[in-house]
Amino acid sequence: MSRVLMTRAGWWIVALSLIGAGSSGLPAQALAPAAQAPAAQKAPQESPGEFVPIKSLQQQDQLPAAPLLVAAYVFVWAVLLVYVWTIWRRLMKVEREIRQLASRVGDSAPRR
Amino acid sequence: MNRVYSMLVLAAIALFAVAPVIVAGTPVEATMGLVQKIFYYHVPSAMVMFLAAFVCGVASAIYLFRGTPGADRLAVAAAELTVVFGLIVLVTGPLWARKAWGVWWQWDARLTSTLLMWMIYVACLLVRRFGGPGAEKLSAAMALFGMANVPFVYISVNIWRTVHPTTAVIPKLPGGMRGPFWFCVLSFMLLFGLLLALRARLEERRADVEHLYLIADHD
Amino acid sequence: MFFRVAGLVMRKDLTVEVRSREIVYTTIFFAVSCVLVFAFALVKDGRPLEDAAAGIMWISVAFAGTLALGRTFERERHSETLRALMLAPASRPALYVGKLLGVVLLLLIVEAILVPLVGLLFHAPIWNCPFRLATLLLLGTVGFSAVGTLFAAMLVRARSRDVMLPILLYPITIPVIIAGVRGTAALFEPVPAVDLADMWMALLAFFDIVFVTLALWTFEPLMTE
Repeated sequence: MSRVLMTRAGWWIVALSLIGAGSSGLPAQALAPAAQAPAAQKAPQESPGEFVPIKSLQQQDQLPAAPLLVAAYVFVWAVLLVYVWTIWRRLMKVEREIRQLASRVGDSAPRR
Repeated sequence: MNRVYSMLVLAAIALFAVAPVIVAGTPVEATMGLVQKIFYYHVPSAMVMFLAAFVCGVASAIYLFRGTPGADRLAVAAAELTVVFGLIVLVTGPLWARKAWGVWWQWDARLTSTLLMWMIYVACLLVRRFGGPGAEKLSAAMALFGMANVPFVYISVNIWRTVHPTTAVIPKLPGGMRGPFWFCVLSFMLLFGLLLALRARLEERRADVEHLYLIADHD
Repeated sequence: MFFRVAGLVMRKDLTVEVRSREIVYTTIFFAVSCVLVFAFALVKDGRPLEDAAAGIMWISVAFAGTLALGRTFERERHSETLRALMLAPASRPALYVGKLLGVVLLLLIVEAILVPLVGLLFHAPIWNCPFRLATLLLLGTVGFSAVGTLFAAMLVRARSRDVMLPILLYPITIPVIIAGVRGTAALFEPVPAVDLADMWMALLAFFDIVFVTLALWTFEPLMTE
């Protein structure tokens, strides 16, 4: 029984923390280097060999990067949250079934 | 066991929650700018996806050749996680690519192979759902064949020319990017381990239900 | 002993097929219809799209192959001969190889008709490097059939087996299709890119070895209840 409770409490902690953290992380990101970086939009070229930190500002930009970045992070959080929720829902259903069955088996035993 | 478990849950949440804040502090990349920060979630997700595929393949092999039901439960959990993290990779990738390469999708080797692998594991789940009795074995064979495809995915980048950054990017990461990157890898791995355990536990409980039904029917 | 069993199974399939010729005729006709449908879709102003010939050829082989696999094992299921085969005191991998050889032979016959047809309709230079083309086709067919035979045998007892076979087969065999199409396209160039084609052939050979081995390994546990 305590295991079930632990699971339930654990679930709430997981869900709430993910939501809380997700919403706190995003403003921090949007504020931070948004000032610097409109990147030039390039057609596909040969593979870059490594990542290089920005050294000079580039003025041409055709697509704002921030919406894409935010969308990506929001998507990741959303998918993980939804998945965790589906597991939780299924687990609760199965636990309920087990409790019903266990009581049924317990009830029928004395008859024999 | 319970205490370790709850500590792990808290650790995973803490890591995952702190990640965006850490990522916000990383240096901005020169050619791709702000959008390159998707890298910190995209690449660890890809790592987890391949790890999950590997776990699924190994568990499936054990289930096929030994018949251990626990292995089958692990296999289904890992297959679902491959699909979930694969979805993350396949959506964050194009979001990054739209800005960095100018197109949503490029039919190059790695992208295509990753999509294929994702579809293989979706097919595993489909066959479990709609294949009728004995579907677990079919799904196991499918996962095994899917895992055999993984080397093709990894090698493909290094053999064929491609716009996708090569896997050699990671060792050459500059200092400011390395720390946050491995932090994100750690949080994703921890999350993966936890989700795997949880999902396998769900399967275990389902097996318990079936067992109880048998007992109940007996009476 | 192993090859004797495989040979016997293959001969059994051939004998049954020669009598009715049902699968051969219908598969060939289906492949030809496929080519025509694609032709109407991909020919513009009387000229086919670039590399269309290679793609159409391999897609038709894949579709026809899926059908042929389904039909072959449906025949087995219908007469309950698969169970009889399983009960026979023969090694299971040998049975698999026998069935595989039968399917490969059937597909090679279909290709023998399809390739000249594609060459004719799409002005594809199939006689540029005939031996390389033949090897490419053989390797690709073996790879596709290896996975296909295993999955079709697995699915014989499953529900909704007709739609399950493509769902399971195509994602796994798309590397074969990619290698086949790009290799064939390389050979159909005005100046055939022989090195590129060789590379694709090497990849196909590697794929074949890996997946035939895997299939031989997993056939036994999959077919037992």
